[in-house]
Amino acid sequence: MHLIVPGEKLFMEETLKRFIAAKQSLYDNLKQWKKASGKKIVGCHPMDIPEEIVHAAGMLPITLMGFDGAITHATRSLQPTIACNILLENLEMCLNGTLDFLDGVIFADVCDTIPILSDIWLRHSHHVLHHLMVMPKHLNSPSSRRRVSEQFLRLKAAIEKQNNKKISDRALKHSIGVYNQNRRLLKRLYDLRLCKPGLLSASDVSAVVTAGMLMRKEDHNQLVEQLLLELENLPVPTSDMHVKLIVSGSLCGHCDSVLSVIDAQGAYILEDDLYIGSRYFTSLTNEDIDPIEALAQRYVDDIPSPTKFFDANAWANYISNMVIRDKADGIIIVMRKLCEIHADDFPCIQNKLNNGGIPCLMIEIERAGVSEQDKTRIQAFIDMLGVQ
Amino acid sequence: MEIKLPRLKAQTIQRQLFIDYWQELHNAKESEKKVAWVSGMSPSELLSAMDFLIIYPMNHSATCGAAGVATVLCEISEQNGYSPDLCGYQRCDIGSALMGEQTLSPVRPPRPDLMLVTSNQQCHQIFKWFENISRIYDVPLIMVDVPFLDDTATKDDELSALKYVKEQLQEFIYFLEGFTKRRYNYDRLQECMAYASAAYDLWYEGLFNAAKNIPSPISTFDLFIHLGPMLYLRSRPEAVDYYRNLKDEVLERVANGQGAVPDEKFRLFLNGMNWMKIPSLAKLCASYNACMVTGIYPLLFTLKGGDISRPVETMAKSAINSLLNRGLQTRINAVENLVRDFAIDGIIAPTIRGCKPISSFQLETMREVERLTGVPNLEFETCMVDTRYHSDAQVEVRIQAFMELLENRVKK
Repeated sequence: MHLIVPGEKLFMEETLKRFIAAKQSLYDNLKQWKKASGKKIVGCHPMDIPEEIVHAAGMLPITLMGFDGAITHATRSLQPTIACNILLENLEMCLNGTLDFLDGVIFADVCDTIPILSDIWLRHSHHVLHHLMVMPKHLNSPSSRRRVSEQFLRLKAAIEKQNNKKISDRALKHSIGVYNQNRRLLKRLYDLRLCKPGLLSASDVSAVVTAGMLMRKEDHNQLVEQLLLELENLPVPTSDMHVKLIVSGSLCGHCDSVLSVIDAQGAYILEDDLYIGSRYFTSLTNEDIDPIEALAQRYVDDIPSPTKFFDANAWANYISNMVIRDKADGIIIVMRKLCEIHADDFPCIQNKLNNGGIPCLMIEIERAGVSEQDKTRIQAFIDMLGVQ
Repeated sequence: MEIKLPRLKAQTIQRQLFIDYWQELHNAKESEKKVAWVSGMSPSELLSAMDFLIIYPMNHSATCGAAGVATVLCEISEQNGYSPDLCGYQRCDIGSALMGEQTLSPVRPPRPDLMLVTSNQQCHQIFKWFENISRIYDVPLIMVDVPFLDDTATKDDELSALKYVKEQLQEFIYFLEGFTKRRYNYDRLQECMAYASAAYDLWYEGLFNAAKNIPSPISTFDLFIHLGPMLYLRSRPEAVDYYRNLKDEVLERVANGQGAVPDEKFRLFLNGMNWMKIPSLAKLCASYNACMVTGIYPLLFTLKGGDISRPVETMAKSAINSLLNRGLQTRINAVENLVRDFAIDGIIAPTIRGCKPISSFQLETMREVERLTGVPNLEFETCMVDTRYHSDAQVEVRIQAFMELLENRVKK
């Protein structure tokens, strides 16, 4: 669903379609691209992987974001009552051959299951590159901050070993530039949406971000730039009558089912704190210092993340400030079932929002769909905010 | 028919030791001693050497489970926004802390002055759990991050992990000096480590290894119950005396050919853990003349000692070398070896709801161990302490069927 008056958006629609196509084809386009280009593709498990290092080695880093087919093999290795569905979906794709086209896979141990998933994956796959980044579980001490750069260097060395080729500082700086450009462009898109709520539906914004995780950043940059040009010339839609929301969470995967309920309800999202959203692109990397140090600095100074064990208060404040700053009517928190890192920070966030009088709804999602019950809850939440 | 398992006399001694220890804890304020809440794999010797009294929230939850109050405490944390999918120990302990003075906990742990958590094998939840508790009590939380060594880890990775853990332990020591306003007492630390190391060796030889005897003089029930002093008292001479005593008692059983279950016929392995159900599981198995002789859990939660003249290095080494901190292949090898060494006939493998670090290994390990050894396994789902996620009837039926399977294999 697109929210612009027909006739004015024809050109933009065409651009948008390309994002949506990239998102829908998921891995099929990539297989073709690989065949045509002869380049290597590396799957990155969400989240926190310094893709720039992969990019600088001339390989294409893509995000593994699950699929909506049947899970039949993966549950023989990981119990569905223990592992979240994103991880099961990715493992299923490893076991059923969908990901055989990958030349490598990289994990960062952002949760309890990933390190073990990595070892399970290793037993059942034949990717040339298999790498687990063991990140510090806190960033409170000089030693733990040093460990971040060590782990980034370790990833760089592993890639260099596989390719039998050094990654030069120049190449890495170039890649950082490409990624920063991508982040700036997406930030512009988000700023535009904040100024002109309703310009794009939440599902479309999600398609734009998702596409970037599945294609060359250079190509994505071009597409986003074109989209921005078209959007910036569109008139501002009226938004007074619409409920305005912030959406947060859905770490590691998309929550399109929730977003489309919000779209269908006619509510506007002002800004998000989603993994496939602002969490992916908010912080820039310093282009003037040693590139590995710069990437490590980005990791440390990034927006609050439950995977890096900032005090949960920091995340709670970040979210609550976003709602207040944007003058949103309320916030929907999307939590993936069995995501322990999110579930553990949630009580603190809930307290903060409650104390600030900010209306908040928590929706737990399992796989692609949203239950009828949750659909009703989202609708009722939006209706309630509309009345207020 | 209710089977009565012979108890080790040491259990009575342990009871008194803990009554005295908790008395000490409750008098901490009067005696001007500080209380630290620490995670199971933490190098608590570092704190004991500076006169801290130690509480293990994990063990506290197990105690609540045994006393039958854990489920209510879990519900309290859920009412406060914690997901029922989170670790049962965590929900129980947070529930107790949220209730404050009104807690239903039978031991009513005194509030901490300090919290110390160690991230063995990537248990993120224990970091969050401690973070939440430290927020409730508004006390400092120190995190020691022990990097997981997965199946691809190299010698270099191991060395860099060792260096990193050593740095953090040193940072913690500096913090303690500031916190207590006293110079760190390295002599006391060596003393504490010597006691802990001696206690471990006695436990390992006298209890853990004793189960290799046929019939086994002890069951996993004993193995678990007698972990207590290793946690709480390992920095004290009492622990050494305790395990020496225990070893003598167990060896006496061996000499007399006395088994932990009547007419031991099957030897079982417990791959996983369920505190609240250990007594009933042990009894249930015993009613089929099956002794659950050993399990993986005690090995996961004990720290081997080493050279006490280099305390920080030794503690860092035992943390990173713990089985809990190693990848899937190491786990498979460990279980395979135990199954062979202890002449195991079958494996009971509970998947613990909410415990990802232990449960995620389960399916692959069991499949591979069965392939390598031919020993069958029984999997079922349960929770550490939350009775809502455990069905006695279901487990009984499944164990019955498993025993029939073992019987049939003997007949063949």
